[in-house]
Parts: sequence; structure tokens; C-alpha cells
Amino acid sequence: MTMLLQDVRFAARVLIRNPMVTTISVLTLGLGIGATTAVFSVVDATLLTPPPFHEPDRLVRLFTSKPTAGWSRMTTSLPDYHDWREQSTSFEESGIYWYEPLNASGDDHPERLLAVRASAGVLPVMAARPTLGRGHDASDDRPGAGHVVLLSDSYWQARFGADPEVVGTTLDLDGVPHQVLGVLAPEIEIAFGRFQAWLPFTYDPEVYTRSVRSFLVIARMKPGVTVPEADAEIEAIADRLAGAYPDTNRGHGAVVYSLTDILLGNSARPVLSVLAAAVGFVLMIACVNIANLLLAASGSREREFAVRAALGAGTPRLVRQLLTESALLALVGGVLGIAVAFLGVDILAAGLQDTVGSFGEISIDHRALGFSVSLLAVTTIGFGLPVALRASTTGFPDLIRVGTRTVLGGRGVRVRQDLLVITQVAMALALLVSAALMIRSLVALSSVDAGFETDRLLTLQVSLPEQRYQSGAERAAFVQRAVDEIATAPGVRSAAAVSVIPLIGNNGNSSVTVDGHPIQDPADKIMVGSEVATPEYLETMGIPLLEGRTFTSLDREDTGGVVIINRHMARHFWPNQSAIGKRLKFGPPDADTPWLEIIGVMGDYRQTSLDTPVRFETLRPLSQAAAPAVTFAVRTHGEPESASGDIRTAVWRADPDLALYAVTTMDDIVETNIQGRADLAAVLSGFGVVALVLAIGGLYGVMSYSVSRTTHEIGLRMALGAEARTILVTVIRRSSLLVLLGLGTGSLLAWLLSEALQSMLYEVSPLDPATYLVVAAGMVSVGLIAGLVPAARAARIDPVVALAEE
Amino acid sequence: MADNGNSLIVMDGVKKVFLTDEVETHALSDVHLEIREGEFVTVAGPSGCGKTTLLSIMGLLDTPSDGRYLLNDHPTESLTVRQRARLRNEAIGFIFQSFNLIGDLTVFENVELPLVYRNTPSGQRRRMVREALEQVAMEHRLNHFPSQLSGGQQQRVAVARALVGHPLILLADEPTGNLDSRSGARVMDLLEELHEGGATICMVTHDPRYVKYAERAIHLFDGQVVDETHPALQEMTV
Repeated sequence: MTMLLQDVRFAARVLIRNPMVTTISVLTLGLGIGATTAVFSVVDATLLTPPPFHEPDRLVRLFTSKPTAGWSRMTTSLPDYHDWREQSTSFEESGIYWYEPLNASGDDHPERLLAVRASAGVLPVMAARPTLGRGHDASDDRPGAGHVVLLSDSYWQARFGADPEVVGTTLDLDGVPHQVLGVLAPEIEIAFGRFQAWLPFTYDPEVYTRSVRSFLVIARMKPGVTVPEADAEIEAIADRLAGAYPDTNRGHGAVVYSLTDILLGNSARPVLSVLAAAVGFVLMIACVNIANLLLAASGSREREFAVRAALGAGTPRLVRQLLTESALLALVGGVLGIAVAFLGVDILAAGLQDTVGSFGEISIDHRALGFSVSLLAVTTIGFGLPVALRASTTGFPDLIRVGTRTVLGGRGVRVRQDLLVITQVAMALALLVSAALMIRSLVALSSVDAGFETDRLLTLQVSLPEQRYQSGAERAAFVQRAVDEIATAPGVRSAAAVSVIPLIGNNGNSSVTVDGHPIQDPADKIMVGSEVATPEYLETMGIPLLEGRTFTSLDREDTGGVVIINRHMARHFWPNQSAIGKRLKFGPPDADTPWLEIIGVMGDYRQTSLDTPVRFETLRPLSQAAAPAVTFAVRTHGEPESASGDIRTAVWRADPDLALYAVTTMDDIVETNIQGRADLAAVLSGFGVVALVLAIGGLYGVMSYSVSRTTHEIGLRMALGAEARTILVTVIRRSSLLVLLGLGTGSLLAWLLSEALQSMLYEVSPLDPATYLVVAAGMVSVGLIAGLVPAARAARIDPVVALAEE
Repeated sequence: MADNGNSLIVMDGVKKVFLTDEVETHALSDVHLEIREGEFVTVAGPSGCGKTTLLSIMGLLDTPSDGRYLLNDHPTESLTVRQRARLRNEAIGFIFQSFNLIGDLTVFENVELPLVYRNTPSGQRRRMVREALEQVAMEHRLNHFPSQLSGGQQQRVAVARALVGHPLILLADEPTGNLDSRSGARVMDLLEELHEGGATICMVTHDPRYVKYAERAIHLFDGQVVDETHPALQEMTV
């Protein structure tokens, strides 16, 4: 015990007496352990932790696909689902569902709920029995069946205070009383997203025919069946359906995806892979830094250990001394690392929530913490240990050699140090290039012209219950009344309503027939974005009207159908003439839908997302094609949030029983649209900066050590006539060479890392030469500065003092 | 210290060959020598004659390529690394030309080191360290660090460290080589005092001024013992 205390005391003294080495080591350990643990914890909570479902590997979702259009995950029609279900053998159970907004009667104002309308097969697929009451059965799945509802666990807790007596009570949904059957298990919300109510699947097969693809399908594969096997079977069935129903199914396939993959998000795997690589690089750079520091320190302590050995310290004794020092260093660095890890997990969990899904709370993963602490501890010990071993086993001629100057470290150490610095610079370049590519994508995306003005624009959504707004005319009348009410609210400049506001992720497409432009193959349908709006929409959104006119109150249900198209569509179909007066109709050529006259051409704008190219867009008057749900767009004079109270009141003046939801500004919608990339760019930049600091610190350390080690030699050179400038150039040349070699190696690493990022890049190539050159130039500059300080010190060496020193 | 008489060090046909880049360098060739308890012996010779190699082998820091080396009648050829470390700790006291004090340890801790490695109880350690420092008149600098001492003081501390474990023999490697003449003379006076107290000393030097302190001088040339003189009886010529 006394010995141990003595070792600890000495170790502490060594660390305190070498503040620079200790500080850099502790910071390196802290950042290395903290960053690694934080990212591994996130990766573990997402990629490595299975979702809390019964045998989650067997859960899949089935989609319709249209390979020729590049669509791999489309909704499915009810008849197609029934055919898949009957003809397939891969699935134990399957179910079909869709989401539906509802208004629940509340105490004060109505509450907007999101309901899942699911067939009776869905809950058995999930193998999750309701925690309270019972699920609905097949007899509930028919139009006009009894009105029953199950509640989600979170809604049950929030709205009913987890009252078990809720079963059997009634809940008014869209004005219709529904009997509460039970409460669903919490994991159902992980699979189906945040919803409040679960209703039977009562869609009418007469209405929802094979051409109406409106539903999602979930299934449980039989034991032993793999996703590719199920996919092959369902694809074969889709082929048969395409042959049997060419009008609706030609060109359409089917595809099976793992539910887990879908829940994690499309971009989760590449994002997390890049993050894991980034943190791996940071960890390696940290290890390299520690290794380099210890190699340098070991050079200066070779003599000390040789003396200890000469005085009788055996190998175990020397190793113990060294282990104590390493352990103390790792302990201090580890404490800092744990603090950084806790902070890092919070930041990552908050920052990546829009990009990456998880199946529970993201918290510190103890295995990850143990792994990173162990790796760095092993590095710390591994690179210090050889000094002790060498001192006790290989003799000590240098120790007692009379008048012989010992060259500490020697050529071997120098080569190792150089290789380590080159590795660090290479990894730092790879991270910085990736971060720079993400930032360039972000800048490109931020400068994308959305095609409308986002400033001081408030949006709020409302859905119109079918029971109270049965006809299109009723819906249109309400919407216009609400728009008029909003327009008179204080602080409002103009107001309009549209079926789906841009950039909220709605990818709805409709096929159209353009008069005079017949298509050869029914599979090559002309697909357009299809929205309906009130006359004030273009003006309120700031979308320019390039030609023709906008809607007026004269465009009614009983007058001729009209439509406004965007410039992209007009130029495509009528490149050298005006599109005004031309006609199109929704559906195939033989569809019983009215021809619509093109009355205006509007500017192009991004409807689905900022990174999706402008597509064909159509806009019809709400008076002629009323939607069951609309978004109000309100341009205000001042800050939109301050007017939101008056705007809500205005809508409730038109209908006090409607629930308003998704109240947000267009600026926030745009920000959310690029949030995933912004988060990744921020995280990568953080790692890049950490890597750069560590790498440059390593370069500085090596060059400083090299200068101090060769002070005598430099003094001798100067005594022999070398000028200070020559010494300066010699040192800088070496540091520059290390940086350049690192950059060469790093370019390859950077390319590999940015290839993995490709899906997140926007309008920038993974091999963008400008990015590589700018980052490399920046690193050369910083590397020069890191080399300049020791070089200047070398140039200032007094040859008299240097030669006199032992 | 041991009484004058018994053989402490016996070398019989010791050779040391270094192999570097396929070149064989014979640092020692067929060395025969004996050092008895209580003797003060110097090893002299020109640079590169093998003095350092001889002292390294004598101090168990290096092993001979051939021949026998008995330390206090114990054959050393077959000792393990651990046994050599233990024997070195108990039997040998080193005094280096460049002092080799550990900068991060105080004077007390530097002198204490051999006893720490011997697992001597702390109370006994304290007493022995104080005694050793008193012998070299450095007991007033217990808590100083080496960098706070002059070269002569550092070498006296190094002598105390060599003495503290009561070794069989003190091996001194040019102990005055890094000191000015005044400090060098003081260190040599100190070694002489220790010798008079019964210490066995083997000192490598090429300074003729200090050869006279020894009873016997062994002369090396090209790795071989070429002469043996008694400086107390005659002037030495190098």
C-alpha cells in the first residue's frame, strides 16, 4: 500500500511538472472518450437496439412501386392488398391502414386528433395486445359498423390521466359518439408514429378501387422467411396483377421493406455510418496523439528508467510505476470524457432527432464508454510500456558511457512519430472535407429559390369533418368564409387557403391528360402536383402570376373548370406558344372528368421539398374541387406569431367546433426542411475542428520535441556557420512535408467518407475539387503555423548555450 | 562494508563482442581480473579501450559474450533479468559521471530509491537515507530537487544514493568528469574517506590526478588488460 501511494504521489508529480503534456493528454483523452461514447451511444440506441416488438425481424411493410418513375414506396390500393394477402405464402398475418385527422369534442375548443384506421389484422401483426380492454375484430371492419375506438397509450395518459374506467365510455369524434374499446400498448406508437385514436378500417371497397392507391400495408413474415424472399414473392404477384389489370397496374410493382429500416429513417444508416466513421477517426487521432506524446515523453525519460533499473528496479516494478502514471492520466481524462459524453449525447439526441429515429431514450451506453476508455487506456499504457521494458532488459551502455551524448528516442521513434502525424493529418482532412461538403450542400440548399416568399407568413391547418361538411360546396363556402374572417383580423395583410402548403413533405401526384399531347403507353402517365386554393393564394404566397389571370369569385362549381399551371409545365408542353386557353383533365384520356381550361401560368416553386427539382404543378380553385383539409396561409404586417391568436379566433368565428393544428411560420417549415443536413453539417464540423486541433497539436508537439531533442545539433550547425534562416527553413520544410504527405493520404480517405455521404449532398460532388483544395490549403496554412513556432524557437537557439548543455 | 581480503569480483577470460551491421567489434578480449574486499581500484585507458564495457559487465548492466564473472563468489552468467536486478540492488552502488539523479524526485527520494526497490520498511528507510546524506554532508538539502543543487552537490547526493544500501562495491564511472576541479577534488576526498571506512571501490577514470587515490590501477588497451600498477608506489603514465 505504501508503495502504491508512493507510485501515485510520484505519478501525480510527474503529471503536474509537465503541464503541457498533461493538459494535451487529458484534453485528448476527454474529447476522444466523450465524442466516441456519445456517438456510439446514439448508434447503439438506433442501429443496434432492436425495436421493442415481438420478433421485430419478421415485421415488414409492403409498398406499391413504380420503377420507371423511380418511386419505390407508394401507397397501395385495397384490391391489390387483398390479392397480395390471398396469393402470398410468405406472411403469417397482414393488415392495411391509413391515417385520418379527426376532431374530438373538447371542454373548450375542439381537439384535433390523428387517427389510424386499421384493419383487424394489424394488431395481430404487431403481436401486441391492448393493455386495457380489447382490440376490434373483423366484424368492425365494414362500412357502417358500430363506432368503436381504441386509444393510444400516450393519449390515454395525457387526456384521461391513465384512468382504467375509460373503457366503455364514449368519445365524440367528428361529432359522432364512439365507444372506447381499450388502450393500445405503448410500442404501437413506435411503429405507427404519434397518433391518438385507433379506428376500424371502414373504407368502402366500392369507392376505393384498384386505381385508388391510398393505403399502407404491414405484415409479419412466417418464421424463417427473409425480406428478399418475401420481396421476390410479392414482386411476382405484382407482375401477375399488372398482366391481369393493365389499365391500373401496368408498370407497377411491389416491394417489401423491413419495418425497422423504415422506422430508423431513410437517411439514418448513411448518417450514422458517417458519424461512426467520423468518431472513429477522432478516436484514432486521439490515440495517435496520446501515442505521440508518450513516445516523445518516453524519449526524455529513457535515462530515468535506466537509472531506476540500474538501482535495482525489476521489470514489474518499472511497469507498475508506468501503469500508475498511465492510470492516473486515464482517470483524469476519463472523468473529463464522461462529462463530455453526457453533454455530447444530449446535443446529438436533440440535433439528430429529425434525421434519425430511435426506439427509446438515447442515453450513455456503458459498453461504449468502457470501449473508448479501454482503447485509450491501452494506448496510453501500450506506448509508454516499451520504455520500461527496454530499460530493464536491454542493458544500459548509454547510461554510463562517458562523454557520449545519448540521442534520445533515435531514428525509430522519429519515423514512428512522423507516421503518426501523417495519419492524424490524413484523418483530419477526411473529416474536414466531409464537413465542408455538407456545409456547401447546406449553403446550396439555403440559397435555393423556393419560388415564394417565406417572410412573415403564418400557416395553420384544419380538417373538415365529413359529417358536417358533406358537399364540396359546403367545404368551399366554409373555407372562403374563414379566409375572409382571417383577412379582417388585426395585423393580417392577406390570407388564403390551399389544400397542401409547400415543403411539408406531401408528395401527392395525380395523372393528367393534356389536350393535344397523347401518350403512347398508359404506363407513361403525365404526373403533376395537384393542389386547390382560394383566389388569394398566389398573391399571399408571393408566387408570381406570369401570364393570364388568377381565380375569381366567378369561377364556381357550376362554371367551366379552370386551372393554373406552373412555368415548367407550360414550357414543356407549349414551348413556343402561350399555354393560356389550352386544356387538360385529371385521369386517363377516357376518364369521365371535365376538361379544365388553363387560365394562368404561375412561377415555379418547390412544393415537396427544397432539394426536389421543380415538377409540373397545377392549381385549381377550391370552389371547383374542395379538399377535406386545408392549410390557411396568412401574410402578416408584423411578426406572424403575435397575430396567431387573432387568426385562430377568426377561424373559430367561421366554425367554433373546428380544431386548428400545425400552427407554424413558413420560415420554420423551411428550416425544418434543411434541418437534417444542418445537424449533420454541425456535427461533422465539430468533429472536423476537434480532429484539426488534435492533429495540429500533434504536429506542433512532434516538431517542438524534435527541436528540443536536437538543440545540441542545431547549436553545432550554427557554430559551423548555418544562418538562422537556414535552420528556420529546415524545420518548416519537415513539418510541411509531414502535412503534405498527410493530405495525400487523407484525400483518399476523404473520398471514401464523402461517398458514404452522397445521399445527403446537394448540388456538390463527393469529389468536388474546390472543396478539397480549400480544405487542404487551410490545413497547410495551419500546419505551417504549427511548424513555425518550433522553427522560430530553433532559429533563436544560442549556439554557445546549446553546445555547453549536456 | 566488507573487510579487506576476500575476492569480490573475479573475471576469467571475459569477452564482449558487439555485432553491428555484420561487423564484429571486440570491446573486451580475454579479460582476467580480481578485485578484493576493501580495495580501491581504478580502471584506466584511452577512449574506446573498453573501460565502459568492463564497468557495465561488472555492474550487471551488461553480460559478457564469453568467460566467467563471479560476484562475491556467485556465478552471474545464468542469472535471470530479475535476479540480476536484485543482485545489482543489493551488491552494487553506482556513481555516474552525469549524476543521473531523477529530476522529479527530491534529494531524499532519490537517495531512498534503492531501498524502495529492496522493500525496506519506511522507518528504516528514513534512518538509512539520513545516515547516507550525513556521510556526504547533504542532510540539509533533503527536500530540494536536483535542479536546485550545484553539480558538486548533485554528485554528493549520487554518492549517498550509491552508499545507502550498503553495497559490496561502489562502481564509479568518471565521477568527476562533469565537475570543476574544486568540486572534483571534494568528491574524490569523499571517496577516499569511504574507502578508509572499508568501502570497496572500482573507479573508471582517465584523469591522472585521481589515479593516485587508488591502491591499484588496471590499464586497458584495445579491450585487453595490458598493465597493472600500484599508484601509491609509483607515478602513473597514461
